[in-house]
Amino acid sequence: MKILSLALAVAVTAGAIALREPSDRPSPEALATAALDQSPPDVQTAIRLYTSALQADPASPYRWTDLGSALEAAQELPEARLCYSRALQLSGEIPQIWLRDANFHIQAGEPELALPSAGRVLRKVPDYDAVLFGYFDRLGLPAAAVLTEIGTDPRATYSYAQYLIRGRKLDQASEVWRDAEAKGFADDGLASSYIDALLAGHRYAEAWRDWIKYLDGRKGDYPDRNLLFNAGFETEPTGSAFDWRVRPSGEFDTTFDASAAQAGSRALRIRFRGTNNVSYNNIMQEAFVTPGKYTFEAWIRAENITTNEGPRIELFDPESPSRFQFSTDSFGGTTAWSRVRQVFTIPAGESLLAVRVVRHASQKIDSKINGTFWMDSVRLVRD
Amino acid sequence: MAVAASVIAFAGQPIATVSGSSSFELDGSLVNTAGVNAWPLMPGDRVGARDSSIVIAMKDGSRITLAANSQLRFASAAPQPTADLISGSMQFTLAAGSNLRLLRGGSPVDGRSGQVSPMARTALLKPPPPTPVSAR
Repeated sequence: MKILSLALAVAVTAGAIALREPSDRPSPEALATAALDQSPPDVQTAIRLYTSALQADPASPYRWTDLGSALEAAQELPEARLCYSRALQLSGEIPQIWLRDANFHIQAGEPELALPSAGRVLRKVPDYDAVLFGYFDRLGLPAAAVLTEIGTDPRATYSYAQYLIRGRKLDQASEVWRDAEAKGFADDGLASSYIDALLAGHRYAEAWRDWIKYLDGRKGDYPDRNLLFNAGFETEPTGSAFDWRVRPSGEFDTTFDASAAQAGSRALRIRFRGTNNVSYNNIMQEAFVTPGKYTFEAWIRAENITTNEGPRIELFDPESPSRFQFSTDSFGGTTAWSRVRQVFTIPAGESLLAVRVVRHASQKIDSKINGTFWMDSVRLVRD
Repeated sequence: MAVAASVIAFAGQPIATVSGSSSFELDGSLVNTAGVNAWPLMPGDRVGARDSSIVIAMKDGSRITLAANSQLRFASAAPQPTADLISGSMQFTLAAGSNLRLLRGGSPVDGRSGQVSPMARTALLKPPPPTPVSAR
């Protein structure tokens, strides 16, 4: 009632407006918008015209926010606030009205008051995720405050985490990730991108800890008795850097083979086709390590591997291979399952160790590699 | 709570709003303007008009009309906000007392009103045509 009185009072003060416009003339709203768009803005005319429009349609939340925007431009914030409040009461399920309210509060320098309406938008539709998350970021709104509004909504929480991860806002991303993970909103895709962001930010220990916590029941003996995850290739790769990452190629096949396991039910199989002198570097996993003595073991099998350059297993520092790198001999010909074992020392300053299978291009005339290589039961332990 | 308050206090504050009849880009994200009449702009924002022009209303009353397929970046905060035309063209009118600094590709634009075209690096010192109200 108070706000309607406000609108009517403004209308009386500004003078009566003919409510019926000829059909070929711009509407009061269009004229009011033009009045605000000119420089300097004619805010009094805009208020008068928007009031007129509101009188014609007082149940419209759009008309209330229109008048609110003009009052805001006139620095009449208390009255503008009343208009937006009334618009929210009439808004029903219209996200655009909530957006107008959120934008009003942002413009008024009170971003924390924008959050309830912005949160409603985010919970309702995905269309405004990027722009609203961008506002939150640039306004410095704490992630905890945002989560208060959207934290019960899986989609919005997931999207917020993605936004922060993509933007490398690592502190906030960690906060939102942990919230999403605790509520069961996270999945392997989000975990993968989150771990990548932390590793890119050199936050290795945090990445390792959050990854292990995320795995929960899928851990098996990882990492207590084996620092490599999915070491028997028993499950499909999650996509995480702390799992096997397979890069597909048309030049060879890298698969988890259910017909030839050394233990369990599957093993890694790499099949070379004999058509090219290929360089192979298409499967890798990283592990968090601290300086000390380690033992690496793997079971390998080969069948008709040709050329002088067969596959090898490499262990190295993925950030700077020159600081630490170890490689097995090349595996060639045909061999039954056999174990390779290497004891080595991680020097001071290292935090990440990568394990991969490689094949270097041969310098010989007979260079087109053919044959199949298997690897299973990989193990990395600190002695 | 005190930490949150201090974070907010040092964060960017809006310096303008942008409005338009069709979608525009804000920091690389497409913003659907349907049903929402004004969107805040902050220092550091990069705004781009797509199929039609957009109007940028500075808090000091200055106005910039960014032509279709043009981009503008707000490069610094108060007390002297800077609007740098990265591509395309714009019309502008600076309000009396405005300290908005206009650039085109980093080079200063002279005048209190006019048009900055893709070809000319300085403003053509003539007032912009009136906004056709029926188009909004």
